[in-house]
Amino acid sequence: MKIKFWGVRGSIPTPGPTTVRYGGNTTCIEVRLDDDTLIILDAGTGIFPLAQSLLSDFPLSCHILNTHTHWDHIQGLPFFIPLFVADNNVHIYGAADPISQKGIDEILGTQLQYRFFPIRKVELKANIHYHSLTESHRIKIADATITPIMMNHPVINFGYRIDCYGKSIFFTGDHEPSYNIYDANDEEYSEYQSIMDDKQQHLIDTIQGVDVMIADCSYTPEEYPSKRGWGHGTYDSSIELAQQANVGKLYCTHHEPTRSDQALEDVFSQAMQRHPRQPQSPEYFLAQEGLEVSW
Amino acid sequence: MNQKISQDFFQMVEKMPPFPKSAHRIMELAADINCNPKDLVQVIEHDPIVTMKLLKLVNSAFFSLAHEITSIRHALVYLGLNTVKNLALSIATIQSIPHKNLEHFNTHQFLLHALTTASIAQRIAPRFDPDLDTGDAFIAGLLHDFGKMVFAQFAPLEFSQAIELSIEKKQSLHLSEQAVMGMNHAEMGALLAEKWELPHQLIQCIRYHHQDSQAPLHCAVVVANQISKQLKFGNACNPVIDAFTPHIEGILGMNLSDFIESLDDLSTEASKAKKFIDI
Repeated sequence: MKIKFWGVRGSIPTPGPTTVRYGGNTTCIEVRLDDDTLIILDAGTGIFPLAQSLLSDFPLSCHILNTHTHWDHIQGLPFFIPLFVADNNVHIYGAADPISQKGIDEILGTQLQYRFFPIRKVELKANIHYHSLTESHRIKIADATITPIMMNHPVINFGYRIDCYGKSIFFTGDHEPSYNIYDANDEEYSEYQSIMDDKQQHLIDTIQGVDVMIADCSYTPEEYPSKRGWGHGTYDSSIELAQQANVGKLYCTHHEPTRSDQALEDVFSQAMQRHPRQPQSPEYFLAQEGLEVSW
Repeated sequence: MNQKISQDFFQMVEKMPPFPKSAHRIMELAADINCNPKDLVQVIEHDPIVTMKLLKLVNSAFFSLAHEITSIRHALVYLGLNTVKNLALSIATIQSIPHKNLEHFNTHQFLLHALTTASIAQRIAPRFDPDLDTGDAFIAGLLHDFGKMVFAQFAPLEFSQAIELSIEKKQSLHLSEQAVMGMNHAEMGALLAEKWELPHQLIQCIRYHHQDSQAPLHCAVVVANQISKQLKFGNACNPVIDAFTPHIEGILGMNLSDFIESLDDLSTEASKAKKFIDI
């Protein structure tokens, strides 16, 4: 299995001299199964340079797993060149929207409206296949098993576990650990806590033992209180989850958009000091645009 | 009545609007970026229609969640604040026919009965099983008479006849409904809950709340229902108050009036509910 990070930034692209090393593109991760099947996790602006790398493979078949439909995870989709070329097969997977009651098939139609984009959906030449997913249903892509799980974000967000040939990866998408909405002295506190604990256990069980986890680490613990409810995690919350789930390697991503390369390394190093590695701990890394990991 | 329960009928019920005050409050909360999640949960939990519709949606095949969602707090943990807020908003903004107040059926009084039954059921639930989820008891109490709202809305003439028959004969309303319409509110509410794929124990509670059962959740709702009627907290048009069954009397070790005596501050349940309705 191989992964390559094409976009690691959260919320909005951040080109410029202070983000050259870690990169300014929004979320996009290329996953290659051992038989070279291409799975793409999210279609942030990082999918554009990924698309450039695929031109010699046409006609191709690929599978885009969308964690959720916020802009920074779909912004590159209209620029995904394989969509424009006949005989390519592009499969798009994601959650349906409970508010509009529409499936993932409206994603491109919404983006490619005449007023907002020069090309309309009907003009795309590739064969596009949509797959609306639900939490309790695993799907197969080639020989891989994909397990979607509901995370916590201001819109439905699936984390995806991918298992293939004994290797595994989990991507959170955007995720903020749930917090108890009640105060400790409210009578509802303990009941709410127990529902939260059940959900957290379900998450830990789903992730259990993956080789690689890629997780939303937007904030430091100092920054978090003023961002509570925005739907993002901290270095510490992701490290804790990785430890509980006995993950092999944790890649911290969704870098906060105002964070420079230097600031990013500083906050990561502070997180490492707070969580010194024990023999059984996962290995911790910062996700970086262009970084490839194979195992 | 049985013939009425067609696809069209279920669709009509789906268009039932929430109570105006909760709709207004949900819209207010949804417009506040810093809205307190506790307030949102509270307002949803105090409206049987919003509660039922939200449970319906989150338990539907559309979500196919790995876990059955049994309460609004449960939904909040699984779906997140913003999704629940927007779901509630989509329910709150349904523009539909207003609720019908019939001569004998006042929606305000009905809501007061539902809310007090809910809060009393929540309070006494541990007497029947210390491990019972009190949030589930609240919801079961809130929704036990949902079928009456449906009758009032969609079969007002027959429902009025049934209420009059009950008053005249001093017989339980569900028996009069059965005589007039061939269907009673417990069955009506349960059919909807079933159609909407609500949690199984909730369906059972709605369906059998006029019958004997050993299930702790069911007992809590049955007892709370009698207490609410006995103390005239609101009015859900049933003139008959049932005595405790031997099973319930065995567990509580006393009869209805002694049990009411033993509970402190029951009137606060009514004033809390009234306060909420009058926001």
